[in-house]
Amino acid sequence: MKCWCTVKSRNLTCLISLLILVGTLNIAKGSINFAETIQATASVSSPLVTLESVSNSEIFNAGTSANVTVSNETSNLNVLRILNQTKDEWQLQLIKYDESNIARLTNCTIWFNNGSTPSKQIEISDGQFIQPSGDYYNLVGGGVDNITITASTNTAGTSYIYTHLKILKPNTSTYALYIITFEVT
Amino acid sequence: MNTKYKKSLKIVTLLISALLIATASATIYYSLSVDGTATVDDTYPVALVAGADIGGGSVTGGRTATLAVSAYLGVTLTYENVLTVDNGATTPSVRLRHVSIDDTYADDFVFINIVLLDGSGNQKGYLNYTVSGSAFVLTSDTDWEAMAADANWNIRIETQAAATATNGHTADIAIAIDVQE
Repeated sequence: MKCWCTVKSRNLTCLISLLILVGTLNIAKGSINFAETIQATASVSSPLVTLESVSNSEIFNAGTSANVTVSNETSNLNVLRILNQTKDEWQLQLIKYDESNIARLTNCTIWFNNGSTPSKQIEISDGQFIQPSGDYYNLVGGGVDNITITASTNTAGTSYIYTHLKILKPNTSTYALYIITFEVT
Repeated sequence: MNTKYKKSLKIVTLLISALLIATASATIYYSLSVDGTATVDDTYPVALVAGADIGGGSVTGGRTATLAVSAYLGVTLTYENVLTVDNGATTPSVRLRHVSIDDTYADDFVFINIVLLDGSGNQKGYLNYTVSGSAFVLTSDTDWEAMAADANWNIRIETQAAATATNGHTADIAIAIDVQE
């Protein structure tokens, strides 16, 4: 009986000590927690730059997406117009993000053209991309630029060049990506 | 029995004394930390700083930011550096946390993504709000992430409005960046 009491007392002491130690772990840790708060409002806005059909093209999504279809032996054809709806300057860049069946394209060149200073953006030669994107091109406040294409093929079929028209706000990293698909028959 | 009982009593007394001392020490240490933060009010160890893309937004005291972003119909609009999360000399753990979002005009949006990136562009957390029916649906990575001393992380926001969205409709979002040191 005496032995049982001693064991019970020891166990009780150990248990109480353990419980107290575990219960005070947070006090001993002394950690600091705080939260920084961010309140964001996202507003639906009219696009600041819009696309307009010149020829051989269809426009979607309130002027923010387009499909262009041209045939073999197309030369220097203005297909789309890019309209700046603001007084602010923007920078434009065409970037290829996918393609399909381009081996038949002997030449396909797409460039920006404001009537005086052209800027080559995409070039395919003998079925290979020579240039998948171009340099930034300034679109002045209220300005208009054209997208122009030349294309030739060596076999029948249909080729697709899937591009993003990147519209960058100068001196920031804020940009919109418009989808423009070029179809060459 | 009496001797053993006394010994146990002594041990318990000793433990309680040790505990009181430890608790008192920890409490003083905690108080000192709080005092330090209060004294240097504008130099939180981890602070929010306006990024290149903050536009019409603002940051107050490194702890609170208000952002205004646009969403265009059918177009992904990206703000690569709307806020910088600027760490000092400590090595805290940081996480993104959803607080609230207003569903009133949810169906005017396709998505609103808020992404936390480290200095090398590696994703450290995200809150992606997509739309199902008339409500936003959240998918997220809100795990605690260790932040190195003097590191600068970045918050990116991506938006897209629905093709049928109404101009001027808005979605208000509240999020938090929790910091644990």
